[in-house]
Amino acid sequence: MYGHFAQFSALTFLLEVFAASIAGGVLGSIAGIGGGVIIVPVLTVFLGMDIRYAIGASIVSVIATSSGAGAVYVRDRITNVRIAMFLEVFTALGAIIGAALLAPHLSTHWLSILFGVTLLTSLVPIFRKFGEELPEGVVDDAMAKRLRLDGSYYDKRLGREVAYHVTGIPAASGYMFVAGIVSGLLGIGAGVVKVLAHEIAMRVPSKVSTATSNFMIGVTAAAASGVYLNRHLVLPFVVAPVATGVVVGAFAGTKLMERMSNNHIRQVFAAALALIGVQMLVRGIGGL
Amino acid sequence: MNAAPGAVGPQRRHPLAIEDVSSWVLRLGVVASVALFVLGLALSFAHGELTRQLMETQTFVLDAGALRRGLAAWQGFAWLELGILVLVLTPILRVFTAMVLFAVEERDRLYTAVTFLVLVMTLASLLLIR
Repeated sequence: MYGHFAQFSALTFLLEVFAASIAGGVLGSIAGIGGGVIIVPVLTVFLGMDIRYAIGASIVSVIATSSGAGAVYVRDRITNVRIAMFLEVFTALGAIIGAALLAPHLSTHWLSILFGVTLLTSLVPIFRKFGEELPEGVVDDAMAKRLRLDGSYYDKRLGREVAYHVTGIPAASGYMFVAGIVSGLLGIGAGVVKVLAHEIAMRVPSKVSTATSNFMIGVTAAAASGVYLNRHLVLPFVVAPVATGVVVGAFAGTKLMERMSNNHIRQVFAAALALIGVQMLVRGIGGL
Repeated sequence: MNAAPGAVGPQRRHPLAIEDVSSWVLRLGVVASVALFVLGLALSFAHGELTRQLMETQTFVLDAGALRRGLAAWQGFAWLELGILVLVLTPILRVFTAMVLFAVEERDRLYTAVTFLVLVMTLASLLLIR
């Protein structure tokens, strides 16, 4: 009967999506990004899905990566909750301004290209930090002091408590505002911009950087998902295997991340950064 | 307990409830939504409704009445929609509980205000932007 064949083909599809999403969850939880960088191309290029639906599934699933990985990192005290809470203000503000005021006036294709170029350019300061295990000589700036943002975490790899300071809060707030705008306009969690802000502007250790970004992107993605839900761009039958897959991947990723060196985590992030940059260029140029 | 700025050292040693509560909220949300996703897929499969055509065309439409009827009738799709709602609300509930803890547990006005702002703006963009 036709029905049986159709169900069989659907099951295969489910399993393919689930398996690919595990990879997205692992990369996302280690690098502090949502994992859309894997999910969107798998759904569009390999499974032939419309990109708008792929982005819709990805943005909802970013919440799953963020919550799954975030639960572990915050329990293990790697996440800096104060940094996350404070910077979320700027992301949320950027998302509202981006979606409500800028969206009608901007071409998302040019924005994708601009964003792609910016990300690829920001590889340079990340490359410069290669080889650095822990940031040195960081002094709390005035705002970090006022907001009590400095902290410490137990590094499983180094086997000791690592205390760190936080700087560059005004610049980081600007990054987060941009992250919000970009997520509102391009439908991405923009975890990549958050990690850049933590790494380059605030100079916190990479583990704190990716863990805190992971914690934050769920809120950004939840805010951005409203648009996709309202515009009927979310397919529950696709979200279900993607979200389940990324959660499995995210739990595995947290186990890896906590035992990796900060330097290796930064290298994984750099690879994801390059990949997202190229993807944004392709998406922008392809749509022109 | 006075929120004197000088009391930063000993306060940090104190196990902050916000981290643990956030972790529970996130874990609960993830486990619940994944359970709903698995249940929804299993129900659809059992009803013989799981086809690629349906998977790639049936979109999320928020309609409380239809959702309630679908859940009551054990329609897989309705349970998947419920899973998505739970997932989307998870980070928002996380911010809400943090706000309450900053206000009640830590008596930290600055961070209570910060989390309140985040909560309001997140809800605004979730509900208002179309």
